[in-house]
Amino acid sequence: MPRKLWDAVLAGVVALLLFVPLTGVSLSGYTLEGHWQRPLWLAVGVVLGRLLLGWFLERRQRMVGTTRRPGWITAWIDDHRPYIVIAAVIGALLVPWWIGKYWLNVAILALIYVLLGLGLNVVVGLAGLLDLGFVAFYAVGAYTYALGHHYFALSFWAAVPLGAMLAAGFGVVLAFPVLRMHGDYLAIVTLGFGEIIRLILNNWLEVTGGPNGLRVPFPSLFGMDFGRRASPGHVTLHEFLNIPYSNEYRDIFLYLLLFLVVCGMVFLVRRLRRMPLGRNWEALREDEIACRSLGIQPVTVKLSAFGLGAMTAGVGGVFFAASQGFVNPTSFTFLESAHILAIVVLGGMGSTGGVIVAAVVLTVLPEVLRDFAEYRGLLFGCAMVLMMMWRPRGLMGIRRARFHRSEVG
Amino acid sequence: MAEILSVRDLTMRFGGVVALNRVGFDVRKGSVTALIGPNGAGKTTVFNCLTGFYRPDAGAMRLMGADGVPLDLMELMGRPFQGSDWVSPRSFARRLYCKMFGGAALAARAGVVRTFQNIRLFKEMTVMENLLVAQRARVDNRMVSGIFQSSGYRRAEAEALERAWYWLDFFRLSEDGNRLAKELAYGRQRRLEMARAMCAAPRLLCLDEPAAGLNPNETRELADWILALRRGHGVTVCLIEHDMGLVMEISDHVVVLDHGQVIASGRPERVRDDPVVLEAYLGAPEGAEEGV
Repeated sequence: MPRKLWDAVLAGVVALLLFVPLTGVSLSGYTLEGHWQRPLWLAVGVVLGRLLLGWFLERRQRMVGTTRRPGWITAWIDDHRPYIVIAAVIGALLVPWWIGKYWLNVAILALIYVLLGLGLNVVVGLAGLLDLGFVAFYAVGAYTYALGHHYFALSFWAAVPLGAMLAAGFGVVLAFPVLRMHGDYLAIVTLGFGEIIRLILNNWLEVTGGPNGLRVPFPSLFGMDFGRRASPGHVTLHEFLNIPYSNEYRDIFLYLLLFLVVCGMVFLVRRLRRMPLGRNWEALREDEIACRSLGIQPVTVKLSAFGLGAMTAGVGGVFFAASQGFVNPTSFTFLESAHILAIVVLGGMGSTGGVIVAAVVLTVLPEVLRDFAEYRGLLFGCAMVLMMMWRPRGLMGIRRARFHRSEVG
Repeated sequence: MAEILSVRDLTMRFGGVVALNRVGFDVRKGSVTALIGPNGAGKTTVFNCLTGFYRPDAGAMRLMGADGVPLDLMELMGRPFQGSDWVSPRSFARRLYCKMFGGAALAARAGVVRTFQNIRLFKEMTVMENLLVAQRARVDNRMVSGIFQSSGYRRAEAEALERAWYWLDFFRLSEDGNRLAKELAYGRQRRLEMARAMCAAPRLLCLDEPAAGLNPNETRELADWILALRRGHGVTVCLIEHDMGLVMEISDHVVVLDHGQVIASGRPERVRDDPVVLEAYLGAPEGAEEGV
């Protein structure tokens, strides 16, 4: 204890020595002004920080050698998993009815990011292929709807499967040349691919409209519009159901539809992870050479992971275009790829629940912290560093399938 | 008496270095064949060629198929195109396929399965998952039936599980089924790697130094297991090993390599007393001592 105290005092003195010339004096006109309180407070902060650090390190030291038990939060989550899932589903279904238009849009965006996170999680988390150009497939999906509508009057309902297929096609096409690459090289090639797609969209003015973007119509439901007035030959939903018009209906509809898609994706990933294909993805991540020695063809396994990830991003892109009513290339920069990757890393590579939580947190938190907008990047960076130190494997642990001997055998 | 594998004139160069120079040997069905030789003799290179990780420069490798039809392993590795390949579309397609996707995966599907000198497990996966991954040929690979859990899929999955349990019991790993592979002790990891190889239904099992790092008791167990595999499960074993005691005990046939060439082959006692072999092992006379 005295040792820690002594360390803290020493750190305080050093901080004082540093901060007095750095922050204690400022130039005002031609005279120097002293702010003697500033360095003092900073030094106090350093002393407290040093004390905390010492306490933390000591605690770590004590824990070395003892087997690490999962924290009570993880244990509680594990024990109550079905209830948590049911509560989350009910909560997600109730949320759109009372949060208002602004937060509804945030929620839609959050769901889109959940979808993208789940897709990238297959590629990066399960198959171990570091993809920094994931946003390319997102753009392919969004522009499938936008261009399809512009040139062929494609409807939303046709754009979803078409966007998914086109994005998956792009994913497979990209995957072919990079099959022999690993880690860093793969990351750089995918990064380049993402930029190529964005630059094409930006510069091919005659077709894509370039930076001016394209307008995208809102989806209809069974041919019913969500607008105040119906387009020729259509009925509006509120007239059909005989309820007063509200411009929230369309967002609620989109939200619920997206929620359904996300549920489908969660189900799909959950099943796949317990299926031969999903196990092969993970095996490939662990050791490609061992996979080949067991007769697993890395080519098909990688292509399927890339294809499924890209497909998900494509669907997300169509929804994004529909919810924004407008697309242009600035939505598909590298930063977007990094954001999705951050979701996957923060959620814990391969963990579905973690990815969902991370996507929601990373979308909603910046909105909540709008007042601190200038510090958003700083907070984000700190959160990432803390996560990597405290929980390098993500917010939630990964649950592996457990097998028990059947009674029959 | 039938040979399951015959290797002829296998040659492999790395730049100017001749790693294998016209290596030839036969492996009889149901036998245990040991590849021995000093470090750098080319033993592992032979394994890498057999299992498709290297494409040999020249030579022939034939594996007797389960149906009695010999299979050209060199073709599976994707040998260069020849004039005759362009004649029939079918042979062309096959050659193209082998060229693109060939090598280790196809060799493994043909029944040549190996383990590694430095253990290669799927570390972040459980022991059972390791074994299930290996059962590529026996699980239901169709996406749709798996996603909707058709009865056929569930039956295939249950059979795969049962087989995995069988091999876990065989290698006495039953309690570890749900542990992560990386958590196992070293000896158990070696056993798991063998169990995983067995799950891949090998016809020719290639073990690369299976006794490396094991204590004498574990080595004894290993010898029993290898003999049991060959007796009870009709597996042909080909192994690289430095432990001469083990080699003399379990192998029916020994091939000695030195500087990429076969310098002796035959029954273990014969090879052990061969002066050429003793000379190659200069300064490492374990082989000679074991016999005394």
